[in-house]
Amino acid sequence: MKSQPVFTISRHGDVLVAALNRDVGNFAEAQIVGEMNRLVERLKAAPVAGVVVDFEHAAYFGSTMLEALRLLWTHLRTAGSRLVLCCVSDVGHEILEVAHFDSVWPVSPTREEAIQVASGKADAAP
Amino acid sequence: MTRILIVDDSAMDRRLAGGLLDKREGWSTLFAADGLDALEQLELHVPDLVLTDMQMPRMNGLELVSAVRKEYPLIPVILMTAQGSEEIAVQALQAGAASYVPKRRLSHDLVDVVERVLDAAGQDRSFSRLMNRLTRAEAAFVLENDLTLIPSVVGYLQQEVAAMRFCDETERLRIGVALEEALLNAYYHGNLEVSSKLREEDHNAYYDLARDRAERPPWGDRRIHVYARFSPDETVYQIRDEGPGFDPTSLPDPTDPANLERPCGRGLLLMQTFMDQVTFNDTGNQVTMVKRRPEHNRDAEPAEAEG
Repeated sequence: MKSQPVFTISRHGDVLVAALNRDVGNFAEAQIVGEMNRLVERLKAAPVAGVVVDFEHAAYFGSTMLEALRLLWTHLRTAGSRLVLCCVSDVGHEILEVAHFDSVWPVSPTREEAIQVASGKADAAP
Repeated sequence: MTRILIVDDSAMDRRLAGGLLDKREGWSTLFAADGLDALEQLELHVPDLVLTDMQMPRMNGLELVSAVRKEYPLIPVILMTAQGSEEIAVQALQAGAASYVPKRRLSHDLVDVVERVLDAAGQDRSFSRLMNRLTRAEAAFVLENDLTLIPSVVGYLQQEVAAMRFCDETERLRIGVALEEALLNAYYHGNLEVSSKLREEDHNAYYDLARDRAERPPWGDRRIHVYARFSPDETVYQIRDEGPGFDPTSLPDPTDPANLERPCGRGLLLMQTFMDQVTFNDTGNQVTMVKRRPEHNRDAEPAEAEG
């Protein structure tokens, strides 16, 4: 049986949105990193202004997701694009803070705002 | 007396549902005009069940389901759905509504559905009261080194703390994160002996090596041992792998800005953040994590209907 994908990818102008389909704990580690690798390959072939990762359907995540985000961020930074997170739960915020990624990845409360930030049309909230 | 709160912005629909339920001996009805009004009523009189319309001003049925689930987890909510609101009804069921009745079938189905849901809720309350009186429980698993078992064992251990009302939902998630990290450490670094250093150099090579070793002895034959002890004051989790162990002090500090881009040590950091105590045995192949009952949750009984 084919497993459910980790991310649903959609394009909004010059921004890609990668929305988590459910809590990351339900997915195999290698699947998360594998899908992130494919996303990075897609971005290499067709660059965008930014990528939004939407956590609306994921109440929590762990070090595997942080590592996958770090891989994505490394690529986007090199390409001059932005990474923005949105709809992060309270526990998700804590996880980002603990790993000190809250200081490098903007987090928006809504997908719409995140798309604006990722496209460069709005500043990240302080 | 069983009390049922009926929430609908249509006075006629409130009267219709109320009329059907009031006929039943031992049931009485209360009324609210929308979700916010319902929450105010809930503060005054805790009902045994909430029956709500979906489309309402100020706070709709979906928002009300979420609020009731959060504040009054033992009170079931039944939806009254109109044609065209099926999609939002599905969302409400996913958010924790107990059941639904199409409005066009109220006169035929409502009493049966309410009765069924009240029976189930009574059993849940009884189970919850029992779990509040649990003084000690233990669980032990020996897992093949199989990644697909990890979410299941984490889910089971989370369910246990939830059933005991040991902590709130946020703490339950934190416990889940810490357990998952400990189990992944046991799988990758303990039993398969794949190092974070390799992931730092080439994350594809890291997963390729893990896949390869998972199929071959001795790595593939190793087990993960999980032990949990639950009591009202604390839960203790022990996770042991059958690998040679490691020195946890050898990990770089992931909070040091210089190490921000290195994929090492974040799992342990999350374990230490979300548990009250994390210790390793001398060989480093067994971690013991302790979570104490949060102070705000001590003596907390879940809201139950009176009577």
